[in-house]
Amino acid sequence: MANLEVKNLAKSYDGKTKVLQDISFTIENGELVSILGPSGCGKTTTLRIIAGLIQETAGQILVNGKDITKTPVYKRNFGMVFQSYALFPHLSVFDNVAFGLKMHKLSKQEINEKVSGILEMTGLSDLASQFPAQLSGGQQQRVSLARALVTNPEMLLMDEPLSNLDAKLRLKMREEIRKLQQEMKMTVLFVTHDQQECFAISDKVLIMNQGRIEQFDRPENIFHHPRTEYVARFIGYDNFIPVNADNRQDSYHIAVKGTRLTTEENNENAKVLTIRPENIQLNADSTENTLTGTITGREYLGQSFKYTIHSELGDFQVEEARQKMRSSGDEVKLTLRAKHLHPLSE
Amino acid sequence: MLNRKNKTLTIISLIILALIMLPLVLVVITSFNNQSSISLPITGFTLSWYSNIFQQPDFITGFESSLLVALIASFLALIIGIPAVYALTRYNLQHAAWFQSFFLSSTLIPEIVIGFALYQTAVITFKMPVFISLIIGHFLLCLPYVIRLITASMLMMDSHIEEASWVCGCSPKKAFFLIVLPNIKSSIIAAFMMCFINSFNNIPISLFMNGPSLTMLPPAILNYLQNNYDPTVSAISVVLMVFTALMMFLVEKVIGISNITK
Repeated sequence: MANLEVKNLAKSYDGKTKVLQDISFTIENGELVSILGPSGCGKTTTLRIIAGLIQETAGQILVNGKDITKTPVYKRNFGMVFQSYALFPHLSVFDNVAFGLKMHKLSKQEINEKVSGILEMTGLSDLASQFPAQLSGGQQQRVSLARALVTNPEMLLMDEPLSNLDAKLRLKMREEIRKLQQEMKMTVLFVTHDQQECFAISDKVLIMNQGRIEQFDRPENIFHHPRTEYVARFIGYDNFIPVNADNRQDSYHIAVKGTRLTTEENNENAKVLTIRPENIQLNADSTENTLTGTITGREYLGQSFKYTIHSELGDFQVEEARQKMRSSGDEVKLTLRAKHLHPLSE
Repeated sequence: MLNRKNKTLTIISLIILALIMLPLVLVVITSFNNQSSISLPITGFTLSWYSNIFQQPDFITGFESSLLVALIASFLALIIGIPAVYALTRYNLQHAAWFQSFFLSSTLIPEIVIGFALYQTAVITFKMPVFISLIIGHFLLCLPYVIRLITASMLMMDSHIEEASWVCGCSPKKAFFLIVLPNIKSSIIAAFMMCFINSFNNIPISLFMNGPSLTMLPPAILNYLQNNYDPTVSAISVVLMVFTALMMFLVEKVIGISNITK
C-alpha cells in the first residue's frame, strides 16, 4: 500500500462555479481517512478525481511521490467500492472478483488462488457461483470489497459504501472494514455524510464544505477543537456567542454584555465562542462563567432532556441527564466551564 | 382467486385475441382447400398449394433476397445504432435530444414516401444499384427500433458498473465489449428481431426497388395475388407464420422471451 498526496486540487465544470478549490492533503501509508460533509460539498468529486473517473481542472495527485495526475483510470491500480456496489450483473461472484486479475493478465492458477483466498477472507466462499441479483445488500457489499482488494491495489477508495445498508448491518460492516483495513495495513479514503460512522473508523477526518477543506485532523481533535464555526455546527456544537475585539479583556477573558467569560484556549482573533449542549451545566455550584436564563422550550431525548434557554447572550441549547424534567418558565443558572468553551476565529 | 375485475379483463383479452387470431386461422384453413380460389367453407383437403409455392420462382428468389436484405439491414442498424446510443446516453453531448429525435425521425415519414424518395435519389439520380438502395431503405426502417430499445436498456443499466471495470484495470474500449454489451444483450436481440421481422415483411419500400433484377417476397406475394386468386397465397402465408413462430421459439429457447421484454 502507498501514501497519497493531493496538491491544490481544483475542479470547475463551466469555468465559473468552483466545485472544488485548493484541496490539499496527505494520507500516510496504512491510514484510513474519511471525507465528511453534506451532499454537494464536493467529497465524491474529490474521490472520483483521485480515482481518475473525473478530470481535475488544476492540481496534482501523487502516489508514493509519483505524479499520477495524467495516468488514466485503468492504469492507476486503485480499488474502489461504490455506493451502488456496481457489481457486474452478468458475472458470478467468482468472476466479478476475478475480473481485475484477468485484466492484469494473471495465470488461471494464480487467479484461482487469489480469488479463493479473498472470498474466504470476506466470508463469501459458499457464494462463489451465485450471481449479484441473488445476493443480499450486505453480501453484495462484501463482493464489491473483495473485488476491490483482490488486485492488491495501491489504495482503496470507498464512496459512501455503507449508506445503502440497514442500520444494524451498517455498524457490523464498518467494524469489519476497519478490522480488515488494520490487518492488511491498507491505505483507505472513505467518503461519507455520516458523522458517527466517520469518527468511529477513521484515523483522520477531512471535513469539507462548499468545495473547500474546513478541517483535516484526528477525530478527537476535531471533536474537541473544531477549527471553524462550520465544523463546530456540523459536529453538534449548538451554542455560539458572537464576540469582537471590544469584548476582549486579555488572552483568556472576554466580557459580553456584562457577563465575564474565561477560556482555557487563547481567545486572540476569536469571532465566536462555542460550547456543546451537554457541556453546559444547570444550577451548578460555581460562580465563574455563569449567567442566568429562562427555560422556553423542552424536549425529551430518552437519555436526557434538551432545553432551550433564553438569556441575555441569546438562546442556549442545553442537554441535561436528570430524573425529572424541568418546567417551562423556570429560571436557571447556566455554567459554561472554561475548558469546554472554545474560541473560534472563523 | 379471480375477482370480477380480473374476470372481465380476461374475457376482453380473449375477445381481442380471437379477433387477432381468427383471420390467421381462416388463412390456415383455406390453404388446405382443394378449390382453386380462396374460399370458405372448404370442400376437401389438399397439400398441392404448398407444393405450388415451389413452382413459383419469384417466391423462392423473393424469399432469398428478403432474407438477405433483412439480415444485412438489421446488422447494419445494430452496428451503427448501438455506438450511437452509447454516445447519446453516456456522454453529455450538446444537442443530444436533437440527435435522438433525428434518429427516430424516419418513423414519422410514411414508408411509401421513403421508398419513393429513395428510388428518386439513389436509383434514378445517383444510379446506385437497386440492392444497395434497398439496404439503405430497410436500414432506415430498422434504425429507430435499435435506438428505442437499446436507449431504454442503456438508461436502465447502472453506469457505475462500467466505471468499476475501469478502476479494475479494464480500458474503456475493452469495457464496452466485456461489460456494456453483455448487459444490454437481451435488448440487442429484441431489437434485431424487431428489425428483421419489419424488414422481412416490408412492402412500401421494397415495392419501389422491385423489378426484374430483384424480387422481394412481400411484393412477389402481392403481385401473385393480383394475377391468381388461389390458395397458394394462403399456403405461403402459413409458411411465413411458421417461420416467424420458429424464430420466436428459438429465441425463447436460447434466452427466454421474458428476458427480452424485461
